[in-house]
Amino acid sequence: MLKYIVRRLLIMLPIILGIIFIVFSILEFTPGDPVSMILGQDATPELIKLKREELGLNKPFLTRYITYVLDIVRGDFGTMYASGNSVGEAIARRLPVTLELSILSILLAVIVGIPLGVLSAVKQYSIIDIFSILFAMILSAMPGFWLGLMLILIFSTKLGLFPSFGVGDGLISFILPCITLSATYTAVIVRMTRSCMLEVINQDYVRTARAKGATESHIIGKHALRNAMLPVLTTVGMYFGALMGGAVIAETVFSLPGLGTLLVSGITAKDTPTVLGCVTVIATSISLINLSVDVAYAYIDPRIKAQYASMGLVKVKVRKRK
Amino acid sequence: MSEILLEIKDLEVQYLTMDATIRAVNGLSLILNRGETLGVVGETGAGKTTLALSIMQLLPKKIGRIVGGCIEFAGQSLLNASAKAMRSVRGDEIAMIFQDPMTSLNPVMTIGDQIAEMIELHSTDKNKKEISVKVDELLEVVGIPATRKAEYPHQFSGGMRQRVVIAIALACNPTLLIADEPTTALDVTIQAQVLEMMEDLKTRLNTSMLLITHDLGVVAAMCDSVAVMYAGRIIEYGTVEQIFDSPRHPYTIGLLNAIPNLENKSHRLIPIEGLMPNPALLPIGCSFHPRCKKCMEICRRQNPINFDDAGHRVACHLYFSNTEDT
Amino acid sequence: MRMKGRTERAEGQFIEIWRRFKRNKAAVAGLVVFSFVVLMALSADLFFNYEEDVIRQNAMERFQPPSAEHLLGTDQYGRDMLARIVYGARMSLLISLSVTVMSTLPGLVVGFIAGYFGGKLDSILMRICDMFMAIPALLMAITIVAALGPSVTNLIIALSISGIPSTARFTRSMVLRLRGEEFVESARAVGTSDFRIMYRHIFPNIVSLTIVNATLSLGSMILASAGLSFIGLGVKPPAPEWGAMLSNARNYFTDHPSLLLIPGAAILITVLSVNLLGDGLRDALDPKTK
Repeated sequence: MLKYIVRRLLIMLPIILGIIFIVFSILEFTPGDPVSMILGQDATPELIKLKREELGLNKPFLTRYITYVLDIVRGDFGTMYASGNSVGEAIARRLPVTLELSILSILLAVIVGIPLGVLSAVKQYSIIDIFSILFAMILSAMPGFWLGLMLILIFSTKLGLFPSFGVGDGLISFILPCITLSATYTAVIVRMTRSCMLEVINQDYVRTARAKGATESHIIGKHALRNAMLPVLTTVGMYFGALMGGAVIAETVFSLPGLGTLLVSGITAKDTPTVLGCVTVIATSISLINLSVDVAYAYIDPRIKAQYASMGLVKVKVRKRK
Repeated sequence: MSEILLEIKDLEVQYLTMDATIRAVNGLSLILNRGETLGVVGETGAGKTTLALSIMQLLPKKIGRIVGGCIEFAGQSLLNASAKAMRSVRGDEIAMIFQDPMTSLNPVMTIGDQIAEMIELHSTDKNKKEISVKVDELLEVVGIPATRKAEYPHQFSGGMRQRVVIAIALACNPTLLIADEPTTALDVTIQAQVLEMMEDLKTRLNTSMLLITHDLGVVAAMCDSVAVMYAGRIIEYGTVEQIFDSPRHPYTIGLLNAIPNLENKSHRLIPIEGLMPNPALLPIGCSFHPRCKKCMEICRRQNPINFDDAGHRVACHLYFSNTEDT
Repeated sequence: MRMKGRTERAEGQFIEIWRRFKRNKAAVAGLVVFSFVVLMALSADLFFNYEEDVIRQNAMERFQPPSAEHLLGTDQYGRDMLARIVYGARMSLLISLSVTVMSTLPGLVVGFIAGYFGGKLDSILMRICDMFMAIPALLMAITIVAALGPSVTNLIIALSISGIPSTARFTRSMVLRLRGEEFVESARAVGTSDFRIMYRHIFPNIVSLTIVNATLSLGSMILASAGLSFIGLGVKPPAPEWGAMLSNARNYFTDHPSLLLIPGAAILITVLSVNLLGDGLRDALDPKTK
């Protein structure tokens, strides 16, 4: 198992390098010179040239890419063009906010989504099933930022229950942003849990459990749920990336000092180091989360564990079919 | 006369789908005596599995329903039993072996736990250790080393898994064992092993058995009596000797002609022409008449009743030949 | 396994699919509502004048409640809300349809090549997909728009690029599965060319799922383009776009909630109808996955 984790970490490295490369190349197209943005309109050509050299912008693309990667390995994410502040420090300060927001949102989505999905499947075509399908449908069709604004309108402006921006009030200031961010996610989990449960309930081994004389709750809890959770878990991991993307918008709506708002401000200021740093950190955390989901998977499903132990077999099989 | 363990009368089971009502079992009656093995034979789609699931009350919820008849087990009606009473019957008194061992075990539970679960569900007084001893015992009985009980189903072959399924079924010494095509999914050599083991266990534990199969060879080897099923009814019933030596119903005769006979090699196999009728659109009259070579005028109009000759019963108009008015 | 040969893909099958689709009330409702939105977007010019009703500000008529003249009232610049919603539908559909086409077609090609030819090429293409997919689609789109500058065209390009990898992966997995099927083996055995196998034997089998997927992604594209416009990276004001309208209303909505409710409801209803339509199509094409 450890071997598998190490292997996966090793595969992650080139992917992260690739991500940095992609973002680096995309930002290369940015119209407008960051230097003239820093120095203002009336900077002299000499001054601009000097600043360019100071920032290393005169060097060729690949050299800058390699330098950047080496810097990151040393823990140096560069400095912001405009303020000269360290990007690494800004990220370190803001990452906890984004992580707290994302993790709380996932928890909320799981706590609401899985029971609702299970109930919905167990009582198929009942009122509660119809309700949760409708609930999921509407949540998934709703733009997150709109939901956020509606929540602000109702719970902050009209009722005054929760703050409408910032993280000044601790956990309570995360409630509305979490609801906003988890909406789509909850919808996905409800639907996924429902369909997985429905499939599992019709499996032969559930019939075997019935034939043993087990009660319905025993069957659901002990046999169905564990098997149904496997694909749900994968979905939870897969959508984590989308959630981090959504965090950018949720943070903007509620003006939270997280990575998302840092990223957006970096984009508007054409501050390449900030944008690069944010995207790299977000993408890395997504990869790490996916890895932990895969490891968790192995602990639930003995078949996967056996497969991991004999890693590489899967690939060989695919190639052989040629 | 021996004691009746299971009696089914005029059972009717329907499946309601969005498009049609499928009449899977139509007025089926049968009797199983204590200690006896009854073979139920028929083609795919004859309603054999539906029969088994009806006895267990495990028909697919919402779509499957018993619309008529009665099922009595050891003198008690199963159709009127409460859900709770039914749960204590399932597994403890009537156990079932399913067709496909590859899918009938939970993939994320060890086989030991799956056997132990059966015991736990039906005895409140046993402690963990006693159960564990019992699991080891059961595994040995079905020929699996007890050391493998912590392994998962995917680590076993099909034949071994079916042994596990059998161990689960036998865990509470059931009075009746329903085996739904227990060897169909297995290789021929493994089939023989599993059947031999079942036969052995059955005599040792004095369990009655309802053996559902489409394999007449299995029936000949294992059963005391045979019920031939066609389109949801029993069309012929008798002892193994009666059915194999003097089959009466044209369908049974057809079935027997369709198996290869080693002693008579020149003889060509005679298939039964046509297919089982669509259970959503059963023909009027005898449901076999569209395929029957001896079809008569009355067969198209009237469903035959049983003709009884010393316990050998056949539902066919041929044997009422001159009594049109019955 | 459900494999449709091309002889069976006759007219009868479309009738059968339509029959199954019709039975799903929610899907039919989705189709009706979505058709209405499309019709509204197409006929916008019949009812409103773009310059007069949608763009021109009218300080005298700010924040008007609904009236006979302005059915949904007016916004913070005195512009007719209904006109802006209708033209906004045109914008949303234009963006989401273009993005869906522009991400599906290249995704299909890449997925086909990777899945059919396999080997090194497949590995390389899939590693590239992995990299792109490690960046959330929305984040990717944000980065691309940031680099290219906010505009409708750049928004379409950004969302299309970020949608390609998932289509490619999806196509690849289907092609990979079909490639091992016996009907492909037998086509190969009689010496059919690779191109012909791909075009005549594999493509017909994945086209329905691809259409379903494209329909389902249409909804998420409407959401994504609204989201990007909301944070100022999409359609620029004064052009009417639902997300941008919501963004502009941020300073006024506490006093005038209708500025928030109307565009939001427009997005919600449209996306809901597309999703219902997509789900219905999926169930109708493959009755097994219910």
